[in-house]
Amino acid sequence: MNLRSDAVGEALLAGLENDLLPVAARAAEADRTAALPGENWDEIRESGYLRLFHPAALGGAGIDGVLQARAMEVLARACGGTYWSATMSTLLAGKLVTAYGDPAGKHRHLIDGVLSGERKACFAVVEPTSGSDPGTYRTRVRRSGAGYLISGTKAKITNAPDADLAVILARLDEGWCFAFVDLRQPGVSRFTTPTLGLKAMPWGGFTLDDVPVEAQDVVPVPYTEFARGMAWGWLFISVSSIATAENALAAAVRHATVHESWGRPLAHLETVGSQLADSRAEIDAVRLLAWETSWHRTQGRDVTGRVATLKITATETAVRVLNRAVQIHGAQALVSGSDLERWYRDAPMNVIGGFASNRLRELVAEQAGVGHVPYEPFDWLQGTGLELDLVATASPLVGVSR
Amino acid sequence: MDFSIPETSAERRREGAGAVHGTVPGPTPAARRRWVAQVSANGATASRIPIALGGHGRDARATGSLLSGLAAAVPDPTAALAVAANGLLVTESLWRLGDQRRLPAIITGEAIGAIDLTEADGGAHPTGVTAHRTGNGWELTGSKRWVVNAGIADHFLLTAAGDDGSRTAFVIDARSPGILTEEVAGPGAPWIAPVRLDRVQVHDDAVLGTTGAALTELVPVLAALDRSLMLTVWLGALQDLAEQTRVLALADGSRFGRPAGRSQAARFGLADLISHLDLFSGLVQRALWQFDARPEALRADGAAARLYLSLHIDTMLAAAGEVAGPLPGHRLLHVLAAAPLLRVASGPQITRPVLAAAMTGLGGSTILEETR
Ligand SMILES: Cc1cc2nc3c(=O)[nH]c(=O)nc-3n(C[C@H](O)[C@H](O)[C@H](O)COP(=O)(O)OP(=O)(O)OC[C@H]3O[C@@H](n4cnc5c(N)ncnc54)[C@H](O)[C@@H]3O)c2cc1C
Repeated sequence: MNLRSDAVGEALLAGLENDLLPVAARAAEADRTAALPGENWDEIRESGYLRLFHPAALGGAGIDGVLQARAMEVLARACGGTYWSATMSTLLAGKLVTAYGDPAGKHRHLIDGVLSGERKACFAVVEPTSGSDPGTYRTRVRRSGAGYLISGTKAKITNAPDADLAVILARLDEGWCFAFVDLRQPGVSRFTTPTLGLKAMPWGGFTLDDVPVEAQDVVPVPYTEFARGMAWGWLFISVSSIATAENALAAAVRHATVHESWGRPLAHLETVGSQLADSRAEIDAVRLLAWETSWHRTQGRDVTGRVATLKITATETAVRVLNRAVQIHGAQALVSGSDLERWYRDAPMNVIGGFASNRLRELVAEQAGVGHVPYEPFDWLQGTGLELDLVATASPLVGVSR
Repeated sequence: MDFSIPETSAERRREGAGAVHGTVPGPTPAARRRWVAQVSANGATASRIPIALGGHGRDARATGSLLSGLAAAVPDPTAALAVAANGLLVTESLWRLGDQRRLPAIITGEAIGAIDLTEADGGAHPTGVTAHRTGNGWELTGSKRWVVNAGIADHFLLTAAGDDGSRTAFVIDARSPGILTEEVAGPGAPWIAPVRLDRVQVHDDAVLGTTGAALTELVPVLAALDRSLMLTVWLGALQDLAEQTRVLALADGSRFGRPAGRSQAARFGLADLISHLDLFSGLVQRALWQFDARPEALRADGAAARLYLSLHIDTMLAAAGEVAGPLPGHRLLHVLAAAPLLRVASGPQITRPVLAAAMTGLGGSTILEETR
């Protein structure tokens, strides 16, 4: 481990932060109107953010994994919803196209579009049924002439309301595939779903009714590939949490050092300081793991299990940090329209988005080698005696009187 | 930045395990002394000392790998702590504060040092011992409660308060007349025991460093070690606990006729144990890197590493218990018994204010420049 950063990287981050100042300034308004400001997208395109996660050969910036994670945090701190939308498009969807498509050849135009920001992409897996259980997914690709047709409904999808391109997990024959689908065509009907937090993020779904897909845009994949691909998503969602937590902690430190109670700034109170300290330790821990896994991942190593670990802990840490920040701010945190109120609504989105943390605990256990568990109906109290109530009795021995 | 793992780190871990050589300390003081001396001689104390002084001249990260490997190979974390207290707290203090006289025998394992864990808390903890000037030396009286290697050491490193309240560090002969090791049950026993000093006469040359300057000279060394390298003892112990827990999860359980690993509580417990361990490990690695490369960041970041362990050790142990059920493996019993030691020194009562001070500029310290 070497945590020394170089001047080039620092300059890149400082420049990005500067470019994104207007995005940060619009965060409260974007939340209030539940819409991603068009200027945000323009500024993100111009900032070069969308190129940061890809190799130079594909038009990317070719920077290391730690710098990528730190750049993510810059945008995520500016505006969580905007961050989700942009990073979902370029990082998760973009990586899926490069990993499973033909980025140098047939799919180069898709990559170019996503990296320039001309196209926005989404990754559509979950359906209106149970997002955690792929057994409930129905969307299917079937052959038709030289190509395919895709039908089904995807829901709870980031960028579904305004994406140009969708990477869709669908059934193909007895297995699965990723389909790269142009959403700007007949047969696609979209819907928007209002959210609790990350309100600037476009969120919702679409129904595909025999939408044509070219043969080259259907890539058969084993289901296990899905988790590997999703690991990019878990990484960026974790950074979203880290950023939200860091924002809340910075606000709490500020508040605690200026707001007076009992004759002094709050920070003089022992447990106020303790809450700041606990948050600092926990955020540092998850941030280091984010940097580390991002670094290994860009070095080409499969760190899926550790990214799952990161997603669980980073997202749940942020919720704890937000609760501490609310405690320190008192009623000020609960005023509608305050930054803290917004972050407080943003934080739990990350706990569920892109796999609920409890679903991921299963994955971590599996990766630890304890095997896959077939879920059984909850019937195992039956016949143990534990499903029975105590029967009232008149026996003087147990002292029941009627 | 770079998160590559040095190729030598696995080798160092094996070396640490090799220093133990599968041995378990016997129950008598003599047997425990032999064991600490042997493990120390096998490289546990020499690691950080410069080659010119007879050591191996390794950096904190290599030493951390060695110690975590060692701790993973010793069932009782307190025994590993005894080796580390001697090899790190005592040895590094002697070296840094320029004690050339006792260092050589300590490095080779011929001599062993004792130290009270609370010395790392500096002035936040009462010294318990007073030092009065005598003709050409000092008279020490009082007691220390948490002395590692009590009763088996040759040297005893301690701080004592002078008449003016200032603290001086001493390295005294642990068998001096007037020193009494008490046998009490409690966390860490018998490795960690109270020591009473009854008018112990020591010569002037027992003073380590500058008279009256222990808080500025010795304490920063001990505090930094306690929040970086010493944590690798817990890291190694918990890594082994996680592995044993994982293995137990595969074994037959008894409840509802299912293997323990079929219980979702057990599976999630294992996931949480692994997760907290990975996070704690990252903070420890950062502290180890800072120890050599950026020591000024260690005050806050080492405290963060130590605090993280304090905050989550209960969850980790409960998770292991969830898998192990009522028949825990030996490792869990030992770690459960040793865990209260985490409150003796560098506990949350210490690390929280240290960290809060660095964040707010209060508490008599300066805000640290962000280390990111
Ligand atoms: C902000 C946000 C963005 C999202 N973006 C996308 C996107 O871009 N693309 C996409 O495809 N989906 C997206 N989703 C959907 C998301 O992936 C699902 O919400 C998530 O996987 C959980 O599925 P579900 O909500 O249907 O809950 P369900 O599957 O109905 O599960 C409900 C709850 O049951 C528990 N549970 C489920 N399975 C298990 C298990 N095996 N063990 C223990 N507990 C379990 C969990 O606590 C879970 O939260 C997004 C969601 C959010 C909140």
